[in-house]
Amino acid sequence: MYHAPNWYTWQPGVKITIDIDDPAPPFAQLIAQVKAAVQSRRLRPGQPLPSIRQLADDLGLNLKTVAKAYRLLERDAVIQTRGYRGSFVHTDAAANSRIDLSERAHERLQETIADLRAEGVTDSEIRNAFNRSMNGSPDK
Amino acid sequence: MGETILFCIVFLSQILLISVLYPRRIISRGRYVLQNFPPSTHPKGYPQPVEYYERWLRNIARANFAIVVVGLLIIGMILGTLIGGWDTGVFAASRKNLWNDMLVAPYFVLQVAVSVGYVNLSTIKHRKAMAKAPPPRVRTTELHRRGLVDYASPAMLVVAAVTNVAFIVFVLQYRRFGFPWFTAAGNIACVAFLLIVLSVSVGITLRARKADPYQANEDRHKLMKLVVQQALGLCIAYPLLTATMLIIKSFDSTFLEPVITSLFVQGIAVVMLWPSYRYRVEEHDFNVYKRDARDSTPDAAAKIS
Repeated sequence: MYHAPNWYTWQPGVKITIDIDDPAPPFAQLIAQVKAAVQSRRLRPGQPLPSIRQLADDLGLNLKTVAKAYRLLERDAVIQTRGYRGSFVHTDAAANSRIDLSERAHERLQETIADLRAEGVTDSEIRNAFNRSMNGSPDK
Repeated sequence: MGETILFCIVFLSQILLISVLYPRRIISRGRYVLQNFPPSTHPKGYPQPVEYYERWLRNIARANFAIVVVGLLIIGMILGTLIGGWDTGVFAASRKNLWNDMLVAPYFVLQVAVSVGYVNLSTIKHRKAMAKAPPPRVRTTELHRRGLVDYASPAMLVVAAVTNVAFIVFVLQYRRFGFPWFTAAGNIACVAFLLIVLSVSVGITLRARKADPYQANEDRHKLMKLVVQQALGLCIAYPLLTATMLIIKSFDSTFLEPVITSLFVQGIAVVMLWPSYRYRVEEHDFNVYKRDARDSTPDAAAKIS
C-alpha cells in the first residue's frame, strides 16, 4: 500500500545515541548503531544518510570522528558514497552489516597466537614479532 | 474627513497588531517559562543570571510601549488637525499623501525593528553562553538527512516559485501602462533581495550547528519548521500583496494610499509573525534543562545561586 509522505511534519528517523562515558569510542558506537538499524530494517537500502557535517554538528562530535565511522561503514559495504549526492545505505547492507572485520581479525590473531604457543614461542617473543610486523607494514 | 478617520482606524490596528498583541505574546511566553521552569529546577536553560531574562522581558515591554505612545501621538496629531483645524505640517489633512512616505512605512520599520529585531538580537549574549555550555554526556539525534521538504510541502515550494515568477511578469507587463521603470525595477529588486535573505536564513537554520546543546530534537525541528514556514509565507505573500497594492494604486486612489500601505504592512506582519505567534512553548521539552548529576553544569548553577 502506498503511504503518502507527510511533508508538513518532520518524522523522526532512526535514533542515534552517543554516550561519551561509554568505554567504546564514539565512532564505534555510531558504526554499531548504524549496523543494528540496518539489520532491524529500520534503515532501508538506498536510504539517504545525513552528511558528515550534519551528523557531527547534531551530535557535538568532531568531523573526523564521524568521517572515520562513515569510512569504516563504507569499507564494510554497509553504506556507499555517491560523490556530491552524499551517503546512502548500501543495497547489500543487511548482509554486509553482519560481517564484523575487527572481530574476524581478533579471532584469527587468537588462532595464530595459540599455534605459536603450541610451538613453544613465548608471549614476549610473540609481542615482539607482532610489533615488528606492524611497524614493518604501512599504516592503513 | 472620512478617509482621515479610516486611516486612523487602520493605523491604530497596525499599532495594536505589531506593538501590542505580538509583544504581549512574547512577554507572556517568557514569564510562563520563568515561572514554570525556573533556574532553581532547570539550571541548564539559564546560562545567564535570571535577572538578565527578567530585564529582557521588561525592555521588550518598555520599547513597545514607547512605540505605541508614538503611534497614538501621531493619531492624536492627525485627528487634531482634522477637528481643531491646526496646521501641524505633515499631519495636515491636505498633505495626507505624505503620511504614506513619512509615517506608515517608517513606523512599520520601527515596529518590526523592535518586535523582531530587538527580541532576537538582544538574546545574543544568552545564545553565545548557551553555545559555550558543556554539551551533555549522552547525545541523541536522528539518522535523517535534513532538507527543505521535511518542513514544507513541495506544492508550497512550487506555489512560492510560481508566485515570484508571476510577479516579475506582472510588473514588467504593468510597465507598459505608464508605470515608471524605476518603480518596476525597484519592486523586482525588493522581491529578489527578500528571496536572497530568506534563502540564506533558511539555509543557515537547516545547516547550522545546534545553538542549544541541550535542546530536544523534536523542539529543534519545530523551530526549523517555524523558520521555514515564516520564510515561505513571506515569499508568497510579499509579491501577492505588492501586486495587489499596485493594482489598487492604479485606480488613482492617492487619497487612500496611506490606508493601503498600512494594510499592506499589516498583511506582511501577519504572515511574518503568525507562525511565531501561534507557537506553543508549553509543548517544549524542558526536562532537558533539569539538573542532572551526570550532566551537571556547575558554572551555570553557581551563577544562579
